[in-house]
Amino acid sequence: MSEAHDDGRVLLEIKGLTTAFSLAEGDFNAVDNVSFSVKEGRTLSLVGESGSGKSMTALSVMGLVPSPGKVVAGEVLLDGRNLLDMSAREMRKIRGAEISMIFQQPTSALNPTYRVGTQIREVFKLHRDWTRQVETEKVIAALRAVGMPDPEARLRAYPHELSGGMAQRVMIAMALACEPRILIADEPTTALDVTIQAQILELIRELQSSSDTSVILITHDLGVVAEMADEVAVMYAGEIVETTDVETLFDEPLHPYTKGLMGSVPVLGDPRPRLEAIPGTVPNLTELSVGCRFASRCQARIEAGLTVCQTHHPELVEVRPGHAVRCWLYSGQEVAE
Amino acid sequence: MSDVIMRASALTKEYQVRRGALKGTATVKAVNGVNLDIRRGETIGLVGESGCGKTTLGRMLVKLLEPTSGKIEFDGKDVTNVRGRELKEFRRRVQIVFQDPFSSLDPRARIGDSMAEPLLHHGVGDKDERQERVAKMLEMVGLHRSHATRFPHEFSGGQRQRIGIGRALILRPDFVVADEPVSALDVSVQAQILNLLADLQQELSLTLVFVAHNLAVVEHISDRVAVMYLGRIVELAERSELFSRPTHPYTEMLLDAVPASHPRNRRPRAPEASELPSPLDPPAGCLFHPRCPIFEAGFCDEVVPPLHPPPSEPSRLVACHVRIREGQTRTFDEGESQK
Repeated sequence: MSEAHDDGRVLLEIKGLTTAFSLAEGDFNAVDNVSFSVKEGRTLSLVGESGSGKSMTALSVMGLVPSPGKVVAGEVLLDGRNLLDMSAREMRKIRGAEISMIFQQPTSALNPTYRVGTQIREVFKLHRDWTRQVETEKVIAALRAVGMPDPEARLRAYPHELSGGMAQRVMIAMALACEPRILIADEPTTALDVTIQAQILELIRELQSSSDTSVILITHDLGVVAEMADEVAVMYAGEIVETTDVETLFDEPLHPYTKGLMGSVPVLGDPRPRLEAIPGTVPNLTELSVGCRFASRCQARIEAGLTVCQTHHPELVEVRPGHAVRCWLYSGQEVAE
Repeated sequence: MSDVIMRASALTKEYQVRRGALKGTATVKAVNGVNLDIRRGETIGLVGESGCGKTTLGRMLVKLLEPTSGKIEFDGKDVTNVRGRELKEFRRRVQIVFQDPFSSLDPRARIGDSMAEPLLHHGVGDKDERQERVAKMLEMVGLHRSHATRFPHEFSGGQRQRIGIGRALILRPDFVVADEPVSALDVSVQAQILNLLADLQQELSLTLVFVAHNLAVVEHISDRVAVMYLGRIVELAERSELFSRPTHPYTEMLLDAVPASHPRNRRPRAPEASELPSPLDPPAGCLFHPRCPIFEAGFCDEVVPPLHPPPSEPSRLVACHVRIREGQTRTFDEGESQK
């Protein structure tokens, strides 16, 4: 479990990352001035709903932004090297070896025409100079490490022969085959049943603690956050609106959106007569107002009688050590209580 | 009027599946001999993992799927094989809300027309009256009457689900199956739809069958909950009973798997890779026995456990030899640790 404000070594630092899209509907920043850092052996969770920019942040880090998107500003520093300055060739050396990524739909991320073993072997061919026999041993070891029953036989399986949970284990085996220092997991359990989700989360946790891998976990599910994260960044409409350690986030969420999310999710074992729904919907990124992007859905703004929210965009301000929030309610003043 | 509005007896749905070029076909029992009494005015949750048969059961109840065998009674009348006028009357009173509000609306029809279609089909009112009913229903589900002239693509996911609910309710049915109505929606919008469903259920005294995989959502909205596993109901109980003292080992496993609600309540979990057995080749005896922590050889793997009340608890039904014999339920310590 996390110690608040524990100072681990920063492994990955993201500064002012901005990823822009230019579409027929208009121009917008899917990721807008996003900064965070990931410490060695820790898990940072990016939380948000659809369109919040959490997946695009990950793809930007990996250098995999789909066309016509483009990273237009910022730095992604791994050990002080800016990944955004690297050539495609250099990035291929980084991906899979230093940073790996797993996706929501394991079955669509695997190639349906190749056997599982062949696909994992591919990673070794790219990053290691091993004989075929060593490769095979390592593939089996990788499958065994992710708890795949009968790994020698599963080498020869095609993706369609695997259940969703087993396919996700293969993805994780492939991602961790070369012992990367950072694993980006984009909704790794969203497509899975709850008992399989528990297995996969436990697996990620075990592998992380045995190898000191850092994890960036992208999810919309606050339960997964509570279960896995050390630090959390809450995203809304392309921006980080609140960031702190996981316990503080659940004990004292500050941003009205974070509070709203927590109130709107039913909690097992704590049935409330009524959920506190957030009114309205996530804004269209091509039609953002000049003010706070959450203003149109924000009850706290109305209760506090703030008008600045609709006219001025709030900055992400650290209101106490390790806890930053993008909200006029907390700007330029100490947090009450 | 009887307390039971819908009764399913030994309801079964089988599918023939090709196993491979030379292996012939196999039979999958998507729903396997389900008995279920649904009480007038209650919200009953059907919960389970993918492949458990909850959607198939829901669709048989509204007669979108023909059962292979078994019986469905609605309001005391056998409706298993009704046709013609009787079927039409059944359809007026029994409706369904689908999971995907994007694919269940005709993209080329105006919302008002989509919603008026059931009225037209059942010959309700004239054009003006129908328009007025659509307008009233739009307001009832939290939209505006002017939305009637718009097309589906002009609405967000949450709004489309409101339209789906409005269309299901426009004939003033007594019985509605909602099949995963919020799982395609963003978290912040889910709560709006859950609140809306709960309000409408009260207001219109609906009987609601809520099919979902999300246990917290089911707990939130249901009066009673049925847990399904590989086509069978394995436990059925009042909401508070089921969640505070789950009795079937599968219910326990499901509840245990739900992530903590607070980082302080994290628990170490067994990462063993137990999975749903293939429904093509289901285990003998209790279907859950290969994954069951309390399974007893020579008993659970041979005899199918019936869905029975444990001796001390007449309001609960559980299909487990061991738990019925123990005659008592273990206390579920989860209750305290999860705030």
